[in-house]
Amino acid sequence: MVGEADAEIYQQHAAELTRFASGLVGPTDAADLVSDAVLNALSSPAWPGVSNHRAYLYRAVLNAARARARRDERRRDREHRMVLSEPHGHAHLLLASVDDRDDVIRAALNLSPRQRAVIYLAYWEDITPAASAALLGISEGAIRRHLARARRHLRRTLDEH
Amino acid sequence: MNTEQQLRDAVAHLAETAPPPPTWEGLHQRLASADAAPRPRSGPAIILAVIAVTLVGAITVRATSDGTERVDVTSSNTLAPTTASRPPAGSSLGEPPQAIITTGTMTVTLPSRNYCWQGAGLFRCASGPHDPQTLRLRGGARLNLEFTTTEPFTKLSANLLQEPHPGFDLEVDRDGSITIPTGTPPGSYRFIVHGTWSQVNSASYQLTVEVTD
Repeated sequence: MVGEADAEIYQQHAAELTRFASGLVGPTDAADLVSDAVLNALSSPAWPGVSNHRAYLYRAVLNAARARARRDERRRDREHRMVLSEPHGHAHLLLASVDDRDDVIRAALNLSPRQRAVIYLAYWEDITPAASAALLGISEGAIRRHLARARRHLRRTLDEH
Repeated sequence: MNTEQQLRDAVAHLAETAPPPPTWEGLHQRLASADAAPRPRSGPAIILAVIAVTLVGAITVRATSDGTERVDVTSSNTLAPTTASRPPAGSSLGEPPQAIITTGTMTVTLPSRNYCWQGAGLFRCASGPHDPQTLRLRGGARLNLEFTTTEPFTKLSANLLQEPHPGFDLEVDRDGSITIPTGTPPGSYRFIVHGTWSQVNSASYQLTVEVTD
């Protein structure tokens, strides 16, 4: 059962989590993503023993984004199997919600959730790869790899336009 | 402008256009609902079960002589108790979702040709997508709209339009929800859920929520 302490923890991080979610899935779905992630976190048996709530909640948001991406992928597969006329799936809907002229935003939102998370932390939070690694619970080497791949992908995408 | 700067600008745009975070109250209510009634999610006869922690009502279903089932709803909500009838199981209209009265919560199961909703002490079934419904809600109450579908769908990216405020899209995988928060100004709010299912093609369902003083 959640209590006042949980409410305080949530209030303390709600705004930054929502910005992080917006960086992962775009502003349209950000609030929903945060809701799902926080509910999962608070319902987890591990929650009472968590010492770094901020990191735990960031990871919860990232995991929710990854789960959503997998779900969208399955849906696209289903739709393709049914030979439907809407092959674009969630990414298409997501991209339609931002300015169509902004190729960079579109390219960024086409990265994998982890790449988006790393990009967000590097360019918005301005934190080091080591700090990103600690926050997301992955190695610093993985952070650097994600960052490099994301930049490469973006340059390639933008060069094509 | 180099790629690095473009990327920084793009990330800044996404962060700065982030919506307000979900309210703690809304999260707490969802947690309480989940604790009270975990929702089953498999099988064609799945029944949406949402019980809010603020559950104060009761519902009984009994057969009547005309072959219908009568649904009596009582509630300690500020609105008067009401009664509604629903067709018997197996009728041409199909089986509406099981009625579970909750205060301030509405559920709509899609894409049944008839659908039912309940909230604020009311339980009603609409005859179809072209039978828009109205729900009157006393100001200060919280209304949670939940949508779910168990039927095979070809495209289920339901749009939820809220008027008179600018509309927004609610992408629905199998279900989705929206909350009209406490303190919403009195007025009429129209919600249109539009989706496409293999057996009914596309259909729009309308619900007008009138928030009074």
